[in-house]
Amino acid sequence: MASSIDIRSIAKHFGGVPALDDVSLSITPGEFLTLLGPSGSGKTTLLMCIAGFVQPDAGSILVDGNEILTLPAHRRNLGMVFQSYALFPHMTVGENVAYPLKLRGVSRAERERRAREALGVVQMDGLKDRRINQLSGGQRQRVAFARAVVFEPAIILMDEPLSALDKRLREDMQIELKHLHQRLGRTIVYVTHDQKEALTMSDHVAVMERGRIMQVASPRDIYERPTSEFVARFIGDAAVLPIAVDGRDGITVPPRLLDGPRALPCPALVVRPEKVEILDGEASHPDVIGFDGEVREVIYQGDTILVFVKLPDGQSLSLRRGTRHTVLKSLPARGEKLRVGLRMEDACVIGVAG
Amino acid sequence: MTALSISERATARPRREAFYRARTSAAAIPAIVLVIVMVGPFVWLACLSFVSEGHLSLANYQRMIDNPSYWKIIVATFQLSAIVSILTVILGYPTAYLIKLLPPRLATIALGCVLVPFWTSLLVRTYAWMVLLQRNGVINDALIALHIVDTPLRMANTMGAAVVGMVHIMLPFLILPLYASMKAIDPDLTRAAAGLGASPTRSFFQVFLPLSLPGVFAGMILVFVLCLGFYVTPQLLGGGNVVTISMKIQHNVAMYADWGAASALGVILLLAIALIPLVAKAMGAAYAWRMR
Amino acid sequence: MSNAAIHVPHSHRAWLYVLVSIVFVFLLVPIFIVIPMSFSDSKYLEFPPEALTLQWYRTFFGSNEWLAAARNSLSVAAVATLISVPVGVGAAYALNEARGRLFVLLRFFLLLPQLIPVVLAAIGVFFLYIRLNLVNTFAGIVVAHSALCIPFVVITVGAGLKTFDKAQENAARTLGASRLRAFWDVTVPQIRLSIIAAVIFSFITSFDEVVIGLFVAGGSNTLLTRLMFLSLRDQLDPVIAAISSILIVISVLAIAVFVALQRPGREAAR
Ligand SMILES: Nc1ncnc2c1ncn2[C@@H]1O[C@H](COP(=O)(O)OP(=O)(O)O)[C@@H](O)[C@H]1O
Ligand SMILES: [Mg+2]
Repeated sequence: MASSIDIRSIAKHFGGVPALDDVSLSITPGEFLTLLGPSGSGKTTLLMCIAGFVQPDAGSILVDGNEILTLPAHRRNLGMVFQSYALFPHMTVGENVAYPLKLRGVSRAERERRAREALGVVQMDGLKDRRINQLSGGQRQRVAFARAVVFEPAIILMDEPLSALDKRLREDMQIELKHLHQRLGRTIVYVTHDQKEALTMSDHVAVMERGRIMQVASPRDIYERPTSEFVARFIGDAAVLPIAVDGRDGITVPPRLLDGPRALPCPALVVRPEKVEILDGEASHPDVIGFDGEVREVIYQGDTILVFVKLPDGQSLSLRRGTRHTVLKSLPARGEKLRVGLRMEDACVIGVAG
Repeated sequence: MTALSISERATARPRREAFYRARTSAAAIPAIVLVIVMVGPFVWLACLSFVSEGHLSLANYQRMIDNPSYWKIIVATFQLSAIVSILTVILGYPTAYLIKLLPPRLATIALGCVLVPFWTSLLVRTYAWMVLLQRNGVINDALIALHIVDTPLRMANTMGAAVVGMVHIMLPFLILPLYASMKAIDPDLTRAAAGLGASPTRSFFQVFLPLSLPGVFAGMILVFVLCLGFYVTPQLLGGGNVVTISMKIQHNVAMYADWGAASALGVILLLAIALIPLVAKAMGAAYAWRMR
Repeated sequence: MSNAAIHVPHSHRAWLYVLVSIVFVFLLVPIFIVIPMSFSDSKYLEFPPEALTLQWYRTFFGSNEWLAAARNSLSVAAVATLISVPVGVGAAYALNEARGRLFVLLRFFLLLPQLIPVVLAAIGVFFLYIRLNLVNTFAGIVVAHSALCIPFVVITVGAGLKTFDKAQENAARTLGASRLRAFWDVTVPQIRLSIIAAVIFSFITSFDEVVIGLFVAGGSNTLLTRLMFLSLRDQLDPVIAAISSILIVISVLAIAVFVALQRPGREAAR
């Protein structure tokens, strides 16, 4: 039903400018993998290589162990949902969904039955005689999905499929697509530049930057255990504080935090705002890394409140809290001195450029 | 996967990419073959015009310089084209401008009126003018009935007839692109001028007219270039009293089978047609520079 | 609307209205006056006609020479359209995909038949056909006319392709259609108006062509325009008024058909 994808050392240049630079990635059957990265990082190019619209300069893409780069796009049997949906305006909803079956020589009655079934999966069975231009954005999205899965491809590719929808609908569709994935069990390669979307939907997230894959991990590890400054800063808010080692300037941390399988030459501490606690006068705890600082600014954001803290060495970090009344009352004001802390379990050390 | 096989791929893939791209371009090959069959032979003739008695020579061109009648024909062709393009602009500019001012529904009808002649056979339109301008044609009848003249004017078979017919043929070629370029002028600019207190006349001459000039130039060059190579209308309406380069070329081939002279003249016509837009483009660039 | 912004009383624009009315009279009257004149019983085609007659139409439909020429013109235009439209659609597709220098070069090449004066192409083709024994042959005329139509097809179909979302063709390919099938199933139905326009343009271009026909379309393959031109060079044959009227009516009908086709098509696309 679902297939594995093995991307090996793919490279692609456009007129000398690298769009993909030695990209390797393994995707297990039934996985929901998201390619996440800023605009221009090569996500679409990688997806187009899989789909067969871009021919890589080097490398290989195996589906269930078979090379697919030698196959033309129409023989790859992939379902694809395009950013613009690419529904055919000269066909009805039903005809759009039945089109891939027609290409496969499925009989008319069987075509109609399966198209109705696929539309049922996305709750669009009542609208099969509508024209595309009579549909709303969310409905188009569903039809595009139905058309991409009706011929039961083992792999589904989606390029920023929700980016044209407004925020509310987008969030609903994220959950809906996630459920559809769980129901259908297909391998999905999903492209987005929206980190929250990636974290919400995926089994694994591959973060891309300038044509390279920076890290592949589960949403939780991507957020909690970034391995590079780029990933730490791209996903969520983070302060990256250089650690003082070998006479370098920086903050001091318990030495055992730096005991890892590999010693980093220029370690830095990643501090996420919601993991920071305020320590009021408690004795220092061996499991907590403490910092003295001064409140520089307090910003109220409705659901959360953000406090910017300046450390004595000039670096700064922030902490985030919910806006329960008791929290608001206990927060320090601007200019006040305070001591904040980060638990060892919440600390993440990365290597940064010297 | 070994490093060796990756680098093998690296050399194999770009070739395939080039192949894919070439395959798309291949869709143009039949058209290119047709174009070569049609245009290629003249290129061949143009090359032959530099050959005389089996070796390279400018004899065909020397003959043209020695024979003043050729010079006269070239000058006459340029004159005729210039007169026609100027008249076309004089009549076409206000027309395009008014169509731009009309409400959409009327503008569509007006554009339709410009399109009808565009879609009507060139020969039919030329014929219509031959009938109208003949000795006992409608125009002479009207002039006599109104006592403007006593005896019918000789209008057929003159340079004037050729000019009238050519302006008629060329007007749509000017009005349609000029209208499109006027449409593209930002109406806020003229509005701003009015807001600053310019009278409509001033805002037209100081804002709209300068902005529309590039479109006028482009249209005029198009008309001029089309006129240079025009054959049917000046031949029929000029009735032998107007001789243009195209006619001379036709004559040289059909009457005397003088391929050398015909192709040398053709090369000159082609050069003029290729150079004029280039010169105009340079002038346009200079003009745009001055506008900054 | 710009005319709403600066309000100029109509009286101030009177001269503009008068001048433009004259231009429209100048553009349209000579064309349409031919129709009543073609019913005039005078050899000089008086207007207004003193007595009406169908004589010139009868002469046309009774003349084997004229009818044969009309038949030739129709079949040449039909075959030239059948060749130039598919060939030109392919070229427009390639041009739409081409980028950079290739695009500039390809476009220049495809527009060449309309860029160079037709007399030059005509003597060139004549020169070639003499060597290939193709002068006055059906095939020879059709090939030259097809080439002449290519630029119109490339321009109209190219404009259609520009408004077409390329992702749709890619979508069809991921769904299992080969390139050609995707083009046929998805692209062609959506650019059909441009293709119809290209068909009409091609047909008219070939049917109205004079100069090439003058050189290479003689003998039993004489074209209508060639016969008209040769006849007009000598004298004003009133039969031509009848032929012209027929051609004018056909042109106007072609525009009407095209406009009628365009209307519902546009609405469905919305
Ligand atoms: N067809 C193309 N021709 C030239 N450059 C391209 C083409 N497609 C993509 N690129 C370039 O490759 C880089 C990656 O693009 P893309 O894969 O679209 O990024 P993303 O989808 O992550 O925003 C960009 O710098 C882009 O400009
Ligand atoms: Mg993209």
